[in-house]
Amino acid sequence: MVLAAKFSVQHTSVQWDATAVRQCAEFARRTAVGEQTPLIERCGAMRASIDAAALDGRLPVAPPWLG
Amino acid sequence: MSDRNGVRSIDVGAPPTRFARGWHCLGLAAPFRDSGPHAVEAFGTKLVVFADASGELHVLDAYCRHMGGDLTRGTIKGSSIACPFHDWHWGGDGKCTKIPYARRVPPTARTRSWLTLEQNQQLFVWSDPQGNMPPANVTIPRIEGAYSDDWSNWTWDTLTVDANCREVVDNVVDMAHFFYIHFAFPTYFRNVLEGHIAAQYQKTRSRPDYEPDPGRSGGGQSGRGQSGSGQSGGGQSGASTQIGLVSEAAYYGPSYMIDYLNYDYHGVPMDAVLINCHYPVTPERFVLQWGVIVKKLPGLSPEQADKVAAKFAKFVGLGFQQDVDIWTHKSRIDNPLLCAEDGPVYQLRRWYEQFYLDVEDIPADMVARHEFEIDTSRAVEAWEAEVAANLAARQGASQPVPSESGVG
Repeated sequence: MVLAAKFSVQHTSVQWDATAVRQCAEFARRTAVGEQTPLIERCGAMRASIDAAALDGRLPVAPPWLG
Repeated sequence: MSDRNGVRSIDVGAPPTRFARGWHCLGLAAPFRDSGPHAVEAFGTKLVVFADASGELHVLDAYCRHMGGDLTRGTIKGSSIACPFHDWHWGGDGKCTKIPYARRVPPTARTRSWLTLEQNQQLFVWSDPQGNMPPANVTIPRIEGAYSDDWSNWTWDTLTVDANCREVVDNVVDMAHFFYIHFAFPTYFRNVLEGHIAAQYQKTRSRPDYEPDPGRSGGGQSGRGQSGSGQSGGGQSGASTQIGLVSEAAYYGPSYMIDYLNYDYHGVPMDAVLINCHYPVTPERFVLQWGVIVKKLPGLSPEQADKVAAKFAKFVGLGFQQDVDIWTHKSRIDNPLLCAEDGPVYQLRRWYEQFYLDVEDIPADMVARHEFEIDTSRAVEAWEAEVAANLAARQGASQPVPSESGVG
């Protein structure tokens, strides 16, 4: 499971659990060639889905103390 | 946390009495090979560092188990350190190898030896209150420039700080202090915390209202920058505008950060590696260390490259001194009050807590992957226009949703 929040346009926070990290195809491709996930800056597909949700209004963009 | 008048108090907490589990850098390795034994006050005690006959470095508790003599004031004899009090010889593995005036060494004659590692021309010891060996994946990565003739030699500086070492680690998520203290202008700031690694990615540019001294930079853990010389006619466009810095930094464990920097030096792109590391002396004192190597510019002699590195290291040191001024006058605070544009301080402290717990007691969420990002290159106006267009295309307002959503 992955939790995402955007407190503003410029901000994005993502909390992964261990299962989600294991299931990510991009992480799997890169760890297979020796990378470690903490040093992988992001998963492009995850980021794209967050951006799309924010633009569509499915993911609200607001500081944490609102709603 | 707020009283009936809405006033919030500071929870001062208390520094942990145990020390962090992990590899700790004691300094550059070569100086420990010079002449006699060396003393390091760390981990609430005193350590003796000495080279054996083959040049391998060993670290033992400094206080002799016989009658408490200080081995750092003793003599290296062969591959042992001999105590100045009664000449008991101790080997690198902690076993007593010889007592010149005695017929036999008592069978329990063994002192604490610290597991060592040499990497990047630096000496590390493994600290673990549980006494376990380090897991295979918990190590110090190799920095290729440290072994290359295309790079300068290391600078190395130290500063003793009367504060708990969590203060320096907090900086890995503190984007705002780069803006206010460094006069840097982060346009991109990202943290990834996962496992035993805490990473920071940063892009900064010169502030439009402030022209920094060319060749200065701030990245990783740097502290307050100088307000010093800018370009004359400040604010004019010219060759020195838009000095950019790209920084990719990470803590590998609780105390050793490697920061890969790329920045403009008088208009020429430069590569540097900055080490920011520390070891605890007591729960209220730590030794902060920083070292720099720079990639040689074409045509620079080794001596010139070392001078460039020294100049950069001096600038970094000025920054750290200003951080120290903050740390030594601030209160410890376990309940920081954050705004929406602050970095993930609570998550960083949760990551850092793993090093103070027994391995079996580390909960999954303490080492789970957490990402935080502020990207100011995202233009608000353009974003708002796109959202409005999307909503209009769907011909209706979006449904109210909770502030955190599961995605994917």
